[in-house]
Amino acid sequence: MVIKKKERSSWRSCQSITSNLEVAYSNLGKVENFEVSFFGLSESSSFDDFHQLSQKIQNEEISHVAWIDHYPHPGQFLRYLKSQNLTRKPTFLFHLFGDFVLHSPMWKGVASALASDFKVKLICASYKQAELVKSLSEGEEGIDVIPFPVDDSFFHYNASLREEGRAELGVAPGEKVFLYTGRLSYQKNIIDLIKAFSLYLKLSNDKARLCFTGPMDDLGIPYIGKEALMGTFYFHWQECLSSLPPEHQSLIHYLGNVEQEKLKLFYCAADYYVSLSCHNDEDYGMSPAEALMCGLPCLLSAWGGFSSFQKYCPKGVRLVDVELNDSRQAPLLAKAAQGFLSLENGLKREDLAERAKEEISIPAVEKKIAKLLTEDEKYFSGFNAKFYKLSSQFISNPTSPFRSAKGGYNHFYLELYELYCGGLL
Amino acid sequence: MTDVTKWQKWTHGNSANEETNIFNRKSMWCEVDRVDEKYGEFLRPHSTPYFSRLRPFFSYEIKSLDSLNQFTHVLLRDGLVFLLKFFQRFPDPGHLQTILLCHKDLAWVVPESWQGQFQYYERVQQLDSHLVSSENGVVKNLLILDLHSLDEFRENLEKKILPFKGEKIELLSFYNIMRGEDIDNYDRAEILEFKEELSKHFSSIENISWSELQGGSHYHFLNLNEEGVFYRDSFVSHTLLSSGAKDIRARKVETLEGGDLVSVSPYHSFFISDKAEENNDSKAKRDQLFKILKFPSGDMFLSEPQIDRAVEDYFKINYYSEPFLKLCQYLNSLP
Repeated sequence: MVIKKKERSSWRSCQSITSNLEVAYSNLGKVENFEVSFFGLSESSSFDDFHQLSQKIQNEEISHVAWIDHYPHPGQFLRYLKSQNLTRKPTFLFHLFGDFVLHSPMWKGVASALASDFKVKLICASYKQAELVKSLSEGEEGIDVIPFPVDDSFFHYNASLREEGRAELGVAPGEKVFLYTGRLSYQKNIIDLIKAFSLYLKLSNDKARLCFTGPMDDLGIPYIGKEALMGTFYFHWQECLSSLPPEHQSLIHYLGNVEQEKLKLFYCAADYYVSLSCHNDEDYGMSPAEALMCGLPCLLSAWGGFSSFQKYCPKGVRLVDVELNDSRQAPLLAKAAQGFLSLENGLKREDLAERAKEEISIPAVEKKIAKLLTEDEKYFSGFNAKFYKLSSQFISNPTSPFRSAKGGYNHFYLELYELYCGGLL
Repeated sequence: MTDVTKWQKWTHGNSANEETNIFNRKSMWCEVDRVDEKYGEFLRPHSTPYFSRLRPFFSYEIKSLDSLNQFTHVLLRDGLVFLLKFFQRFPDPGHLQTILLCHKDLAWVVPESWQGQFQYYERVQQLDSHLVSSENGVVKNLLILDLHSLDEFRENLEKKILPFKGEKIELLSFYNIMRGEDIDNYDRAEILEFKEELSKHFSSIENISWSELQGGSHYHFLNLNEEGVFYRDSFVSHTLLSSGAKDIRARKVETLEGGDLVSVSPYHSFFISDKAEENNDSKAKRDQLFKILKFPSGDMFLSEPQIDRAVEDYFKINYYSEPFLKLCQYLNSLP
């Protein structure tokens, strides 16, 4: 049985993730001979809903329950199910999202259920996320990696779309188009990206532009209690642009928050996808995943989920080292500019797209899920002392759990997230 | 003609940014008190602060004119009630050098003594040059209204909602009760009756909540209470505009002359001019206020309560009297 939220997530990336996982599980029923059913829970689910669900699990003799959404948190349902004293307990598969650390108090609430009352597998979207979760667990077993799938029937490379997209953007012959998609936010190091691009332009003679598409937001850095008024990010965006040499200002284009069809057009039209995000919730990266499915080579920070993409597509992904200290988590400017300079030309888009498809398409993820369901008998053994320390940071200081006395990141944060730095290869 | 260089200087550069930084740290120069809490809360979410180089806030937050003098300019989000109250509290600018911006439609309220310190704004849609147009032709009509201010738009409702008449709409409504007055006996049934009355004007109404609203360029909205007495610059409108939604009443930037534009998002700007357009209607309203009602010294205004910002009981905090509010509603309803 697959459990997901009834209502659509407010996070665009999570909307895609959940719907693609839903298709992957649904296909298990058609292709891999599993019997798959679905159940929707809302955030305001009542005990009546839990009762219905637990009855279905019992009556239909469900062997596995897969939780494919980040809301509602499974904690309440697990506590309810534990109280039912089921004769046959299903194995739980929880697909973890970037908010795993944020929700550590909720996971703490069901720690004993996860460790001893049920057989549980925690499915991480990337290798670095798995390392992080393992560092918070008693053992490494029952913690697996299955990437979030991308719909390859929609995101794929198309040469005529490339021409169309470049015509729409007015791209000159020989001009390189670097593309960022996703949230434009302090959390995504957008200002660093613009400055790195400007430095790259100074160092090279390339004709190039940097395009951004996605919503602007003013989410600050909640982990250290930094909030921003609405409109602040746009102010800093303007200030950054006006600090650049005039000839570079006209090469930074904000295209707006476009719909999916346009997004695909721009992925095909662009020459490289770029992101220097070092956001603590960067467990995966749907944007670079979509870009790779369109055969778009990527320049990414060596951070979190991004490093998995280099493992999947070694020739198509270049990583830039990041600097992590109490006041900053971002790539060094010079290294980032060097990254721009070192990007390879001449990679065949179709080959890169095909390589990505083998790892992160819906059919590829389907196979990984099937393998996990049939071959792997190792289960999660519980959280360790470090996890309990983590959850207490959020319980005691929910508005700034990782803030140091000086206002930056505290040592515990640095210790936790240094695992996110660096590549895998 | 407004000096273009002056607005660039006032809103950009290190000195301007430093002032804006201080402006946004209200605890340094304008600490929040119970008056701010009561009225800010009553008008939420429209009164929610947002960042802008124009330094927007409400005049009820001003504790002294001296505190403003550290800024080259500030923008008043006020509707008629608060703006009029401001002029009653401060009949002349004294030593104030700060330029205050108020909505162009309230220019007739500015007394002669203040006219040298005021300039006028309106919000306009101004798209960043690289924005890609959306090819999705599906438009959602969004009507925004405050159910606690029914009096303001009940009269001439049909005329006010004309742009959406007969259409399918999404309705974003708010119902706030003033802190300290929550024990009063509000006639809540009136709201249900009004909603029924409202439904006759549209083909369908879908209620939507503020937390559900995601905005986007496919929204065309009408914030009815922005023509009302409490506010002219709503955070709700600002949020929608910043996501690409269109204010159906906003004038096109191409039609505007004689002013300067200050952008606040990739999708919208404020148009600033040092003179407001005057016509027979605004002259008539001006005469009504200053010659007939003899603001601020006329009988209608002498009985206004003194504002005591130290009062702790929210029930006893009255920034304006009920007759004053009614008068503002009357003046606001004049053509």
